[in-house]
Parts: sequence; structure tokens; C-alpha cells
Amino acid sequence: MLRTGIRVLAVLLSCGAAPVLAQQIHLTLDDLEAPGFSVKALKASLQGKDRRGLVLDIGTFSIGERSWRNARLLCADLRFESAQIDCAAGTIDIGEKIPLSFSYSGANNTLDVVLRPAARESWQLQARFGQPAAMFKVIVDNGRLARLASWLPATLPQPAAGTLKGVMTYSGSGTASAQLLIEELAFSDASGLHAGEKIRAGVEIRAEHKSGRWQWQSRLEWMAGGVFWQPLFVSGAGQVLNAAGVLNAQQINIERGRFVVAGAGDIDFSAAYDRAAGRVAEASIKTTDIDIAALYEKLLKPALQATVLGDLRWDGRADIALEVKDGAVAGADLVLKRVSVEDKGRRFALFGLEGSVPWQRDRLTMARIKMTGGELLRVPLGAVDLPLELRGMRLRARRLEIPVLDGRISIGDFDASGEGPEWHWRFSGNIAPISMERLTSSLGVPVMRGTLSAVIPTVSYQQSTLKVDGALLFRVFDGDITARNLALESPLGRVPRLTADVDMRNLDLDLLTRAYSFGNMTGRVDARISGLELVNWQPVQFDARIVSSAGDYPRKISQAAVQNISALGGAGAATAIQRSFLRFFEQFGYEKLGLGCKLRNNVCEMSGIEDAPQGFVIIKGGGIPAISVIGYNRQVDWRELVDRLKRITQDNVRAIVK
Amino acid sequence: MKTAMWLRMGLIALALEFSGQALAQANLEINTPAIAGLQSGMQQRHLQLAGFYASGAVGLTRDGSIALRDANAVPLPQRQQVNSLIAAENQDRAALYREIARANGKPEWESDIRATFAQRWIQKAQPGWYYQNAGGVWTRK
Repeated sequence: MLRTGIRVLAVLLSCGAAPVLAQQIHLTLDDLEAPGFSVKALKASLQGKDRRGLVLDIGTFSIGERSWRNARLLCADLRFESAQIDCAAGTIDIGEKIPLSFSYSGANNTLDVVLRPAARESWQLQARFGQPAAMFKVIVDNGRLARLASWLPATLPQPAAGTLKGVMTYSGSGTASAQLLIEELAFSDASGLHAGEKIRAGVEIRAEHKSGRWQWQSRLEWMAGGVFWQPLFVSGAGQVLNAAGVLNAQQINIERGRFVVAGAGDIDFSAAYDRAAGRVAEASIKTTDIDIAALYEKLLKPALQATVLGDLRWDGRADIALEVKDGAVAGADLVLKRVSVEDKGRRFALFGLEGSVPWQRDRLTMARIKMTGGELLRVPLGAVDLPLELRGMRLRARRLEIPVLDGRISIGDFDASGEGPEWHWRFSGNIAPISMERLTSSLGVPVMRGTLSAVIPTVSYQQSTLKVDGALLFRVFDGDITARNLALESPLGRVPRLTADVDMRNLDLDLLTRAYSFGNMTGRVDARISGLELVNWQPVQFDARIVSSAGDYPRKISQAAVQNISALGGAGAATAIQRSFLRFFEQFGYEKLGLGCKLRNNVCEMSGIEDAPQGFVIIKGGGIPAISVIGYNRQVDWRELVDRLKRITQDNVRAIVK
Repeated sequence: MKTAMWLRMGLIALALEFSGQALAQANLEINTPAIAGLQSGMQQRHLQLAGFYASGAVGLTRDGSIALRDANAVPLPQRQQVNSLIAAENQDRAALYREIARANGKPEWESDIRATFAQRWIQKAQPGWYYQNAGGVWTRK
């Protein structure tokens, strides 16, 4: 309890032989002490005419854990009558000179102090000492919140602007309360990564001291302003935070907390904050039936800008629970209820997600997610049932079947684990026949016929590189494609780099050429691309060769196809055909075709089936009517070649009509 | 365009003035699909970053990257976007140095190429932009 008292120590100073008059009075005041408040080493002197000029030196002045030393209070016109002291206009110098007034009544044991640091700003303390208990009341009007910066731990973001209005009370009998309105609050830490601005919020706190601890309850209503807490940005729009708990010397406990996000749902939480260690010892966050669309729009979307998850449409609800122990997430539970998510750019979509994902840091859990359908790059996916084994930072799926159009992708033994931000995973699988016609139509690329099927050996991803161990086998265009030594560095980076050796056997030219409006060809071809290197999906180097497959099968080439093949080196064939009787034929026979390209430094060194005078044979005629195509330009700029394929313009290939 | 010019001037200056024994023959204007892809991405991003260089929010570091110098110069709702831009730019810069070294057939030159770029980005920076001096202290150009 607060003790107070005033003793007059010295009264007199002599002035020669003149009548003895007291010119200065020195006073020593007892220390004032109350829980969380103390004033020590007070020395006062009354000076000047009528000794009304007060100079009060305060050795130490403490509120809570904050102390000031060597503060000085000046009052030019102090009224001092028996048990009443009044100062209508004084100043206190605590590093900053602040105008104040105060009034002390010894009879009533009351102290009233008003600080007016700035125009329209006032901090008023009304105190009543003595029995049964001291009472303190602080009334703030237009109080600058920046003044509180030095009261807060340096590790917390500091207030830089804003005002406070309201009343705080404290009773020595053990109750405290506050009703405050915060306006235009701005705060930030040194990095600027935890900051808020233009915040308007109302705060109500009630607390009671019982059995050595404070029981408290609070309500915070966040009406306006924005907070950036990296990576989240949230705007205040009527969110309400209710919390109640216990405060003691060791911990701050939130026993019942509820955060009401208008339009999304309620988030319930509890937590224990270890004051000595300065960290969350335990916390539990739980939300039931939260609207995922609202949660995404209000909380997650600003943080995901410029990522593949930055523009999504969500539907459905979820239950989310998180457990924190010793400052780290120890468990999580996610229940999805008819959740759908769709990329507005139509890159992917998942529909009808249902399931539960329990996760514990230290033990094995089983999760199961079902999906009624989806879409990837506009290719429809069917229903998926995904059982998952989770343990810490490891997840496994023994079998996953994804229906794709009329076929399916099967993935077996998917095993992923993460260490810090680095993840690595592996799986094997196969692709059961998918109609190429339907697949290419869905992808919006030239329609191809045939089916796509594949055997996928072990695929692994580690240190930003995806590798296929063994041969990746595809069946397309009625032939086989084998990719070996396949590796993809930085698949999600700006410069993905793919290397592989590719072998194609017995591709059906009819299916292939129909796909690319190339002009029809019948026959079969083999192709080999060795040392293929694509950077940023552009070829940098390869040795490629395409030749007619061995065997007996019809070999026909349409007039249009002849022209287009010729166009790889020039457009002479078109003129040659048009000038001869051959223009009456739609199709020609051929014996063999072959074309090679060795790409180095953007130059394709071309070759054919065999050399011809000043050139090389691309198509060797056979049957009646037959046609041969000879190329003359062995060095072709790669980009130009690609352009020619697109535009068909040059004229350094000539068709020889037999 | 100012953006493209800044980037291009930097590259040309590098090609002309590149010094150092081992790097004397390095072709810093070498063009590969990877480098072209990176430059194109960086040029587009520069349009978004230019204002933040000018405001001092983002500065050029002495190791050839960029960094958030003063978050308080960025409106709160945009702060995460700036963080993402910086991360993406630094990823591209690292890839650019690596690809130039690789395209020259000298992957071991990567750190020297980075150091030279670091100096040149700063030399070609516009007045008012911030950069880290040799001691790592932010300095206004």
C-alpha cells in the first residue's frame, strides 16, 4: 500500500543582520510506493516570493518496469495550505518538458495530475490512497501512441503514430479495467515486415487479481486499417477478437480465445506464453466450418500474388486445427467438406474434395482425400481416391489412380520427404492408353490420332533436378518412343534444362502427318535424337535423324507433303510439280526418306539418305508416279528452319520429277 | 524503352569493359535461349521494380543482387509483392551469371561474372538509386 508523508526539514536561511526571514524552504518527502508504482528520493524546495515557487527533484520515478531518473517538476505558483497542495500550471522535465497541473489533498488522500504534452492531448491520473485500497484512474484524451514506444520491449514493433482515447482503472484491491479507442495507429518493426497503419480499433479489458494471479478477459474490435505480418496482409473490417485467461509471473495464458472473421467464420484458440523464455509454449487453434473462399480472399490471396496460387476461385468449407508445442507446430488436422478450387487462368482445377488429413510431428497418421474430378491444362481428370501415410515431414502414397479422359495414370510408391525448404520425392507408374485425339483436342494443340500409353520407371526429384532412372516408354502414333537419360533441372525455375536421348520406332506417318496438317504421307519412320538438350524448352543441341523404318508397307506422299518437306530447304518443288504433268497426281510413291539435323550453336547441319551432287537426298522416289526431293543447303540457321517449317518460303530445294 | 536500355547498356558495357586475366575472353553478350529467357523476364520485371529503386525501397547489393532496403517506403498491401519480386529477380540474376559462365564453357567463372556484374549494375544505376558500397553500407547515387 502507498505510504506518503511530508516532513519539513529546513526552514531557514539567514540574511545578515536583517530580520530573519525564510527565503527558501527545503522539504524531503517520504517515498511513495504502490504495486507497479514508486517515487523515490524526492527533494523539494519552495522558493521566491511567498515561497510559492516549487522545485521538485525526483530521484527515481517508476511505473511498471519503466523508470525515469532525475526528473524535475517546476511550479511557479504552488498553493500549499495545511493538507492541500495545488499547482495549476507547472512543467515536468523527464527529458521532454511537459506542462502539467496537479492537486494533492492530504485530507482526502487524493492526487490528481494532468499532463498536457501537446495541444488537445491530455493524460490524467486520478489517485486515491489509503484504505481500504488505493485506486488509480487514467483518463487519456488524444494521447499520442508514439509515447508508448519506449514502454514496449524492443523486439516488438513500435508505434509511430496514432492516438488513444479512453479510461484505465486499477484498484489496489485487485481489479483493473480499460476501455480504449485507438485511432490512426501506425506501427512497425525495424525491418518493416511487421507493420500496421491507419488502424482504428476498440479495446476492452477487465481483470481481477485472485490468489496471486490475474484473471482477465478482453475484447478487441478491429474496425479499419491494414496490417502486414509477412507474408500476410489483412485489412480491418469489423473482425472481433475475444479472449480470456490468466496472467501470472511466469505465463500469460489465453484460455478461451475467439477471432470472428466476418463472412468467413470463427477461429477459436488458446495459448500459453512463457514470459521468461519469450515464446509461445503451447497453442491450439481451431476453426470449424470455415468458408475457404472468404479465408483465401481475406488472408491468403495477398500473400500468394504472382504465384501459381495467386488467382484462384474456391468453394466449400473446412475444419482446421493446429497444435503448437515448445514454439513449433506439433500437429495439424484438416477436414475438407465439398471443397473445389479452380485457377481462373484454367491451368488446373480440383472439384469435390472431401477428406481428412490428420498430421502429427512425431507419429504415423493416415490421411484420405477423395476428389470427384479435376482438370489439368484443360484435360479433364476423373475421380481420385488418395490414401496417404504421413509422418513428420514424410508422406507416402502406395497407389494413386488418376483417370485421364478414357485412360488413366497410375502412380505407385510415391514417397516424399522434406528437410527444411528442400523436398525430394520419387515414384514409378504407368499410363494406360489415352486417346491422343481427345488428349490433343483438350490441350488445344493439333489433333493427333492413336493412343498414348507409357511405362514410367522410377522418377525422382532431388536438389531441384527431376531424373528418370531407366527408360521412359511411350506408345504413340502406333509406334514406340523410348526416352533414356532423362533429366530436368529446375523444372519450376526460370530456366528449366532438359537432357535426354530419345528413340522412336515404327511411327505411323499417316497418323503423324495428319496431326500437323503437313500433307498426308503413308509409311513408317524411325527417329533418334541423341544428346538432346532443351533450355527454357528451346533446343540448344542434339543429333537427330529420321529415316524410313525397315519392312514392307505402303509408301505414299501427297503433293502437299512434298512441297512441305521441300520447304525445309526451299520451295522449288512446288513450282516443279506445277509445271509438269505431275500436277494431276495427288500422291506419289517413294522408296525411302531420311533427314538428319545436327544442331550446334544455333546451326543445323543437315543430311539426307545419301549425298547427291551439291546436295543430299531427302526423299528417294520409287513406284509410279515417283518423286525425289533433294536438299542443297547443308547449313541452316535453326531459327530460320523453324520459321520455314512455319511459313514455307525458301527455294533451295528442287524436286526431281521422274 | 528505359528499362531495356538500362539492362542492355549494362550488358554491353560489361562486354566492352570486362577486365581480369581469366575473364578477358568471356563473351558476356553471348546469347542462348536460357539467357534470352532470363533477360526477357528481367526486363519485364524491371518495369515493376523501377519505382521501388527510385523510392529507395529496393537497392542494389554489392554481390550483384537486389535487396529490400526500406520496407517503409512501400505501401503495406504491396510489401509481399515487393518481397516476391526481389526473390524472383535474385533467382534470375543468379541463373544469368551461371548461364553466361556456362555458355562461355567456363562454369567456374560464375562468381567472377557475378562480381563484375555487381559493379556494373551500380555504375549504370540511375541517380537517386541506392546501392551497397564496398563496406556494405547503403549509399544514394
